[in-house]
Amino acid sequence: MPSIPSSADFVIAEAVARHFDVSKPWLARAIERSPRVFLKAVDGVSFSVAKGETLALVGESGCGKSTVARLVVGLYRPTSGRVLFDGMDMAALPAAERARCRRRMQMIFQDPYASLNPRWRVRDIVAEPLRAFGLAKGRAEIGERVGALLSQVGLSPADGEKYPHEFSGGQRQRISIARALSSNPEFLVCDEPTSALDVSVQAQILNLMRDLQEELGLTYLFISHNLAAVRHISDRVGVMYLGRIVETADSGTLFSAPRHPYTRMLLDAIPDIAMSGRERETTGGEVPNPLDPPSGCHFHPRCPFADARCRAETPALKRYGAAETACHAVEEGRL
Amino acid sequence: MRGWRDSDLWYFFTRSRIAVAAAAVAGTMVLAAFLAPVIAPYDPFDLASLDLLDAHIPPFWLEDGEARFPIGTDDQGRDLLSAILYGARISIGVGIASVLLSLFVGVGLGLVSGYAGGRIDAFIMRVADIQLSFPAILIALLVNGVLRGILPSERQDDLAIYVLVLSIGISGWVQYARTVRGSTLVEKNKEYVQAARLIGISSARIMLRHILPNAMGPVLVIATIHVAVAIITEATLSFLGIGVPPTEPSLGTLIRIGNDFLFSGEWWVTIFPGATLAVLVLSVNLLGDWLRDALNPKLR
Repeated sequence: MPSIPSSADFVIAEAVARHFDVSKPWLARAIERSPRVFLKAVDGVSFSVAKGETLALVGESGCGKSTVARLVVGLYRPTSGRVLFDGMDMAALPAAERARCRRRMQMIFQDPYASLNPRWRVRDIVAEPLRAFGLAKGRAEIGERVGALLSQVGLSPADGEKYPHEFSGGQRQRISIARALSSNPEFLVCDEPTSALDVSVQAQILNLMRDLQEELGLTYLFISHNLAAVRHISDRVGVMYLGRIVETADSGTLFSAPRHPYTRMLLDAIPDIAMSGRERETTGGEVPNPLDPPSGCHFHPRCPFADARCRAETPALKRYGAAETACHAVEEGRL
Repeated sequence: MRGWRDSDLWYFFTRSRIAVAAAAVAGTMVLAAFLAPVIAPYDPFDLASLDLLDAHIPPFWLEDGEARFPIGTDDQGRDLLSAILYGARISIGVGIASVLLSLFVGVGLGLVSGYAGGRIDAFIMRVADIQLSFPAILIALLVNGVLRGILPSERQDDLAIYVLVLSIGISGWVQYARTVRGSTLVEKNKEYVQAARLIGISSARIMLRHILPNAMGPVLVIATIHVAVAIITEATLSFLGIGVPPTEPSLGTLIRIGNDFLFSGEWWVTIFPGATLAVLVLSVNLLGDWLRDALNPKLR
């Protein structure tokens, strides 16, 4: 199913799945005779990210993007499959080496109002990874390092004395980035870093992230539902639908020649200012309940090209030119 | 650090006359109680200085009143003013100490319960539910009885205060545990906690350094009001005769002693300690109410 990762790949997800037990408490289950219920948030996702590259994962709310982000950094353990970071499986490493691994990856969170402890000064927030990994010793050295980090993300070293509530959303996201950079990571997982920000600020943050990538040679896994942001920052894009990746391609190919019907639907949903009047494929409907996903291809109830095979058989990712697509219609040449 | 005089809490405090008045009254009483050895005219614990001939003397403005004893004496010839000062010291001390114990136990269990979840959470919360189905005073009586059963009888009077603190403290932890658990459940899923977990910060450190400071606001309000409740509970237990011994009377003990003489017309022995208790509890309660409103942004 997945493409064979090359040895140059830095971060590899191999058929990673994460199921959440969302059953009722056992007493309620025993009385109502209801079975255990599992939510397959991520259902066998494979991808790889090369060093210095930005892979974006896009999809609607509830498709499992954020769960993938948390699986990759080790906040969740995979139910099955594994995540390799520079050839090492985090979940299987002894504690000391896991700590060393942790230092090399960091995460930027979605909500800048929840990702900074409101009772901590900014300097302590930014210094927490420094102290946790013992990267700087003593007040003076830590203070100097924090000042440098704050300047690097476009804030003033004096801002370290303030509390998070004294900053705007965009500034808070800069603090979040400074914290993420403080342990000199090589890999950053960005979980919708701009979705809570004003449009005008989004571009600033994206540009900052791109500059930092060039400067520090960072590798990004960029999770977003904002296609404009994805187009701006990513080298390659994976499109997720209900816990599965339905298409991956390099950014240019995906936006110019999308193959999967779901990708087309997403791109058609972008309003175009030119008012070209071009025909749009309308795809109605809502994302189905992930507790009870459709059979076969998860997208078939909303797909205008679905047939009996799509309802019965789960399509696998196959390579077509520059893209990999999981679609029976594409495979059969119906599309 | 911005000084506390700049904080909005101080600003709201100065704007509330009730809060300032309550704080002044409570502050004066606490100060007087803890300075009792300095300002009290007599030492009611010093049995040698007591004279039974001085017993049952009314306040000075009544017939037979003496200026030596401004608000009269009790059945053993103790100066009531001194006894109230020393008694308030015991009452306030027991009240604060037992609240601190409740706070420590309740906040600790609430943090662990909320953060660990699962079976630990279920166990702690069921214990809390069971305890909540009894009145607090009953729990205090139960703990008191068990502890007194364990302790040797000759040491009971010395340890009576600690037994009181323990029994009142244990009877009050549930409220703290539930409040802190609730806040912990909210805070632990916030992204700043995940950011800390991501870099491998230990659970204990996350609970103490990250979650606890964000869960303490409502706890402070409960603790303030609980001080008043604990003082009342102490007075109740002492009134029932299982609190501090009559040789070291608290306000509750004084009220009980006075109660025996109430119908023989010696009202002062019970009314003055009773009024002291009422004013103290009222002012602490008013402070707590104000704090609750001040920390509630919707009421500002």
